[in-house]
Amino acid sequence: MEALLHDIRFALRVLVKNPGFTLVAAFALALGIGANTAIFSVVNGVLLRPLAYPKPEQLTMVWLDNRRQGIREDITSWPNYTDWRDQNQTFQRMAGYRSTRLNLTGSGEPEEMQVVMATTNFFQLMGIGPALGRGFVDDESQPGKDNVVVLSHGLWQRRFGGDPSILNRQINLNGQATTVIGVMPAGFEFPSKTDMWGPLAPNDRLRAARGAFWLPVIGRLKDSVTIEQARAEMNVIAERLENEYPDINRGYGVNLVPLHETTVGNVRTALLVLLAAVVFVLLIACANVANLLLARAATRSREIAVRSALGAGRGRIIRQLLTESLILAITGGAVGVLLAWWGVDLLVKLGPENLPRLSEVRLDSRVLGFTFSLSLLTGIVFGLAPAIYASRLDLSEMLKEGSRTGPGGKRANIVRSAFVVTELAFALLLLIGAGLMIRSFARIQNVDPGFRTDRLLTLQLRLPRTKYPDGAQVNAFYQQLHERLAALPGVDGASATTSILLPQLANSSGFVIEGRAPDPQEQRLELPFDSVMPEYFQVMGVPLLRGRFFTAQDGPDAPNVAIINETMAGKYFGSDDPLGRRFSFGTPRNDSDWITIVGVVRDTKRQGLAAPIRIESFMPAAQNPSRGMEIVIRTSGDPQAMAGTVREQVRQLDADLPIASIRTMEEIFSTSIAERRLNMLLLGIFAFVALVLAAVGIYGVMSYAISRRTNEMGVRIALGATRGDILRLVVGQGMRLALAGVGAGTVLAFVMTRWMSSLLFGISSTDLWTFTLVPVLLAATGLLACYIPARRATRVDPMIALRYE
Amino acid sequence: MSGSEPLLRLDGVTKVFYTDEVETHALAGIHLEVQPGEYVAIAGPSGCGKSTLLSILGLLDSPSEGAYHLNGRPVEKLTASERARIRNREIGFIFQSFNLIGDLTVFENVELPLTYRGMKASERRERVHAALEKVGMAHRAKHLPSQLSGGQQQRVAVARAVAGQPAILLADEPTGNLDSTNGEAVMELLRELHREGATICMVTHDPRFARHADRSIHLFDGRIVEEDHSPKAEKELEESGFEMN
Ligand SMILES: Nc1ncnc2c1ncn2[C@@H]1O[C@H](COP(=O)(O)OP(=O)(O)OP(=O)(O)O)[C@@H](O)[C@H]1O
Ligand SMILES: [Mg+2]
Repeated sequence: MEALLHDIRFALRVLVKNPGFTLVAAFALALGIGANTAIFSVVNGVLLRPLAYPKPEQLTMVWLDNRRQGIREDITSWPNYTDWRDQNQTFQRMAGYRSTRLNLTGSGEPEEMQVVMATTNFFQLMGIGPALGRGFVDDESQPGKDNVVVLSHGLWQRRFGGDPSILNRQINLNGQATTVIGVMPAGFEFPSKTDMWGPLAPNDRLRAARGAFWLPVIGRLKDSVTIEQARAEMNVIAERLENEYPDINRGYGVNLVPLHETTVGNVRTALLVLLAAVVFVLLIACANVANLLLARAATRSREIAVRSALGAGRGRIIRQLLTESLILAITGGAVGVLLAWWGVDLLVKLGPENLPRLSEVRLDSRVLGFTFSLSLLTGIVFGLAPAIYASRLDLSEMLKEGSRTGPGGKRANIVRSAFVVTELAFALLLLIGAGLMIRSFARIQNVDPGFRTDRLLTLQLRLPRTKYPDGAQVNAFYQQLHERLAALPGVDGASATTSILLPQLANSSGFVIEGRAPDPQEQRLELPFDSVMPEYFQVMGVPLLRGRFFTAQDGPDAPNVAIINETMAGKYFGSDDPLGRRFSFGTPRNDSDWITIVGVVRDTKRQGLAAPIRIESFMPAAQNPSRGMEIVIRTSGDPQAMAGTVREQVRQLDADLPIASIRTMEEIFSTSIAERRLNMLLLGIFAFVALVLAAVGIYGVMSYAISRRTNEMGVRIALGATRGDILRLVVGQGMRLALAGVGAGTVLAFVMTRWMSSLLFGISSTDLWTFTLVPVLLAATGLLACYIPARRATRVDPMIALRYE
Repeated sequence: MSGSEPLLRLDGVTKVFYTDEVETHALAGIHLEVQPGEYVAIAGPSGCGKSTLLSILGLLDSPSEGAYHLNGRPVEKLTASERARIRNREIGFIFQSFNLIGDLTVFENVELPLTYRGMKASERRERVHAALEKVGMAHRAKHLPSQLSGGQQQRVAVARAVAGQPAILLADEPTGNLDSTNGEAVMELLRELHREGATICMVTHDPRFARHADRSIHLFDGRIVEEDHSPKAEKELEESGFEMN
């Protein structure tokens, strides 16, 4: 114990006495440990920490396995849900739920709410009940008795000031008086960012329609039932349902996915890639510090020799030096935690809104424990090699004058060189990773979405059924709004569609084409459809390839018409002319169900810049009215500047109508690639840090080597070496290390980048450009890092050779 | 004497070092001529400027004032790379602390100045062997300097200095780090080289070794205070009819 205190005291004295060394080493470690702590806290919050529900491992999504269309996580119908629920023995409960948006009006500004309608067993299943008031009772699943709602803590605080008298108060949702029966505890937002939960009360038609697929299902496994057991049982049930209802259920199975997997599965790869990146950054920092320590051990060899001459054993000396490196590492760790604290804050702020569980990311005791262990491990990793080296110093060798490179010079040199090569290899790996992300990002930014995204303002409206009960009223409202918006100064054009972008679960339906034998394989392929107002394509800048756009003549009483996209035209009509051909959603009952194709428009990347293009169809809103529409306004100036005016126009038409997400098209696209951008940015930052650390590493080793070899350089110059000879010598030795590192790193990257191929877009994980440019960049950096000490070597005064120390 | 051009000629050479606003006059108005084939010993107390003089002769440093002619050419106007070339081809250095490069073998150390000439490998090998043979170290060609005794290291250093067959050998206390037996051996080596025609300038403290030279120069405070000739040199001079005053 006393020896330990002595070691610590001495270590502190040594560290304080070399402030330059201590600062550089601690800072390098702080960078490495800080980055690890920050990313680990994200990994911990998102991937590792169990979901914040009781026994979260029992929670399982019960998806319809749609083998017909290859959608493994599809939604199901009410009759299928009840059969699954009633026939199984492995689940405690199964609940169905459906997210919608409802307008909250009455007190204050109208606002669109994210509402989840769930079966009445939902809260019991989740294992969390309201903190205030009550959950649903069975009776409330009857249509007409379902006008109750449970608020989220966030909404309660924000909109109602956390007033407990909110219980039993009536609020107005889509014009319907609804009673608040409870408030959920803070943090409960299932499935995500939900404002309120209401009871799901499907009408008799939906309860009977086995072919209407609209319901996601979640289940809670019984205690001590494994997911495999549940899978086996659900497969049997699904098979039974296939046989019982072959017309509808043929090709439909059940796919159980742990809720945790559903929640975070999409970001796992990105997070693990980032975690690997920061681990490499830390290893590079360790190698740097180890090299600094090795250099110092060599200069301290006299002190160490004296210690061993005085009888200190090897173990004693290793312990002394390890104490120093551990103190360094823990200092680095402490500063690293500060960096991470700040970094996590920034990450949570910068993080794209669709990154799951971001709000759960913080520096908790597990993260701090991780950092502390990491610091200790780091201290041992970078401290051990120098300590062992120093403890092996040979007294007699030390006293020998013959070799000027210092005692044990050669062996230590090899270790130092190995560290530098490793550093460079890791840095190259990170740089290639970052390069691939940057190239992907550039690719995706250059994707032509197929329409003009500039000067386009968008907003979402949803007309409540109570106020606009039929299609004529809906159409009248949007028609009026269109006229008002189009007349505004600064507006070049305005229109509306049910959906600008194509969501994963878009409005779609099975369809048949007249005169075309239904292909059994394609029979159930669904065709997404959108209702658009006149001039929609013109405002969006989507070119017409054939036929015509919709006109005012395509009214409710005119024949049904549709415009299809290029992909659909190619897939179903090939070289034939699709104009004038007819199709129908479902089997047509009479002639008026047929829809005539009047135009073909160019494909657009509506499903996402990185997603493949699906078949699509569009119908005039006048023939197919929709309460929810997305308004698009092409402005002549800054679209954001028009937001207030547009809001005012909506308010003048209907003061109770909330406006959801008024955004420019460029914002929408930028959000859609936000996660990619963040990944690229983070990996880029880590790669840059790695590059700097590696450059510092090679610079440090070469500088140190030169400083140890000043005399040799003087002798060489005295013997007639020119500036060029010396430059070549030093740069050549440095570049040998650099190229070894670049070579090893290229091989490493070649093997490892395949793990990130799912994060890439438009390039392969062995993209030739990246694998050419990045090694050249690193080699050039290495050259520069060697050149500086090399130039110093050429300036050595050859007189040094005459001087005898 | 005036008929033959001296190999080295210093005219009024001065060397001043400036450090922390202190001027050190290491050399003050040195006149010196060294004839081809001459063996000159430079002696004097510590700090009198011996090494400085040698470094100027060896083109490791430039005079602050005065002129230096090497082989009849003024060296002031030479570029850095021309100076490097002359150091490499016309001058051989022997240092007090041997200055062998620890990471290179004996062979590679001797070969070093030759590699800076861009000489063919086969020719280099021949020359290195000849030089090592001359100093009796051929059998240690593959050893590292740290595996040799001090005397052996200095013999290798001599081999390195002569391998390139330079016109002039400069030695700064070559025996300073050696015991008397080893010192004697190295001096014998230099004498032999001198007999074979080498021009040698050697700094030494040891009056015994100074006697081996044709002529001794005594420096004091950067000036040449006396020049005396060894008995052998006097005899030669007498034979040539030169009269001392
Ligand atoms: N680079 C330098 N900067 C400043 N002063 C120097 C420098 N080199 C030599 N001197 C000074 O010049 C003077 C002559 O030095 P020099 O090394 O030539 O002496 P020396 O005669 O070789 O001595 P020794 O016998 O101890 O080797 C000394 O006073 C020394 O301090
Ligand atoms: Mg000297």
